[in-house]
Amino acid sequence: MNVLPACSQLPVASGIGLRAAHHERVHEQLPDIAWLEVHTENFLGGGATPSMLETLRERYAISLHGVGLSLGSAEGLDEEHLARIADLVRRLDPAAVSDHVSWSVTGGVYFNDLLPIPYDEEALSVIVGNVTRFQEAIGRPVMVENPSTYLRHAQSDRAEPQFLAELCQRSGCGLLLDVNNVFVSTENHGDDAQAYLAAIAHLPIGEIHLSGHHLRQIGNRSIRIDDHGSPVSDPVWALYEQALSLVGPRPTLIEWDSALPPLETLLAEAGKAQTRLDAAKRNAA
Amino acid sequence: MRLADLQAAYRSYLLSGDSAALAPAIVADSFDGAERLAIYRNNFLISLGEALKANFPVTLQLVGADFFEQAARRFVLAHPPQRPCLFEYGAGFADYLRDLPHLSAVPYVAEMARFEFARIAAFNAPVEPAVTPDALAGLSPEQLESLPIRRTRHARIVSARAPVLALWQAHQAAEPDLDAIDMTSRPHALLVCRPEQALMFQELDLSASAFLLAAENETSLGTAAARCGAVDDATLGRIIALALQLRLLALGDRGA
Repeated sequence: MNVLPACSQLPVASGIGLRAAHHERVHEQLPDIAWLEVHTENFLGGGATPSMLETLRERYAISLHGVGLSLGSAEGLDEEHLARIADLVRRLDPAAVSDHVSWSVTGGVYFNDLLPIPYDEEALSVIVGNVTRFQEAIGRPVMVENPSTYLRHAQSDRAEPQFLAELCQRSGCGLLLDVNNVFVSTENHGDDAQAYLAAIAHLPIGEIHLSGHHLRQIGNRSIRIDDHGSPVSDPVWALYEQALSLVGPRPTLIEWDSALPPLETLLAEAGKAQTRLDAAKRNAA
Repeated sequence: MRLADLQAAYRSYLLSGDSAALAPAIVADSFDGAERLAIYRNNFLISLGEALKANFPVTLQLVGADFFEQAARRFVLAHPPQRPCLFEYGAGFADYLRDLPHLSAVPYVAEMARFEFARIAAFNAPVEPAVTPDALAGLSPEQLESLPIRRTRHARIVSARAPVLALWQAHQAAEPDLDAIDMTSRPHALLVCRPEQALMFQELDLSASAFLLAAENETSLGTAAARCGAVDDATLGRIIALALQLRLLALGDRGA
């Protein structure tokens, strides 16, 4: 139960997302953290940034987390983009490679958002095909992340956990479990987060994400919006503890991209996750 | 709905804001389909506006956040990104700003955007082998004349009338001191390049910029040199030495 699936060679410890504003400090001070995750798309230029990652790779395990492959696109993957990712993977030999269960590209436009797909047979076969192509191109299994969603498609005929289970089973990929996204989506759609966790606990989960969200008021109603711009909320910490007890200890990332705080704040959040991971390891022993 | 049709419907909704065709595909409950879709459209527009702010930070300071956000929103709808790498986004932003009637009295804004995009392009250009002085040393005058060359992709030339470089440098301070900058219009060319790790900027004289502009696409060293106009050998030698020192020239394909 506590051996990581093939999609993840990350250390079973907490890590932080590395964003441009912290590159220099991390490079100079090499903070005490087990691993770093970067957005793949920020390192696909030919400039100095990939070589910076090569340097950090000597000290930290690196996770390449994609936001632009658009695995849910009916038109298939952008082969040129995929080739650039495959080059970076060869160059870095990262400990994990992931992207999302969503789409962002159609008809030559990139929307820079994780748009939802319907959970039906056709979308499943599209994303299975795209994940399979992704894994072929980089020669290793990847992880896909459950999204935060703000709507449901009328044509969906199965729940998200079932869709994820079929995707993992049919493509051989792993799941990157974003606990904040589970909380946001289940709250937004009146679903039960505990039931969600129970339904995906048996999947090959190679990494967990934790991040912040906010409650947006619209008239007298409200909706939770994933923002990656605030501390992890108390109910999400509680849900994380439940996930650890169901799934076992997993590499856990503090994901904070907008309104980026000082590095110390990120490291302190990662420390809170590490405390819970340590407890889960003791319980699992 | 077939997935391809659904995604095409999203595309036209996100670009137009008209949700009539797509909303029926969304489950309506405490929020209707249009309200739920608007969350995604809002995120699409705001996140790409943020990407433009990150790529054009001094342009943003010159026009202020309110104006920039409105212009960015219209630009995003007219020219959404075609690729998922946002560090490349905004190639047409300078032209877009240049054509805005509100900015016709302040042409330096579009020129700043052009300069800032050149910085991004130079920074992210692929590293490629450059022609070295050694490679030229053994060549006869005839071989030199016909040597196929082109500008390396990190080497960008920006034409400007306003003192863009001085303005940009002043805005690197927390509180820019603009009083000392002479805003007199003066046509000139700036070189933006990245010979090593760091970006470099410098003003080019007319003959050097003519030489480098001629090498934008593959040409011969002789043809590019002829574009410098009537310059003596020493001047030509100085231009070529600069180009070699800053790794501005690659061997053309015909010579590969």
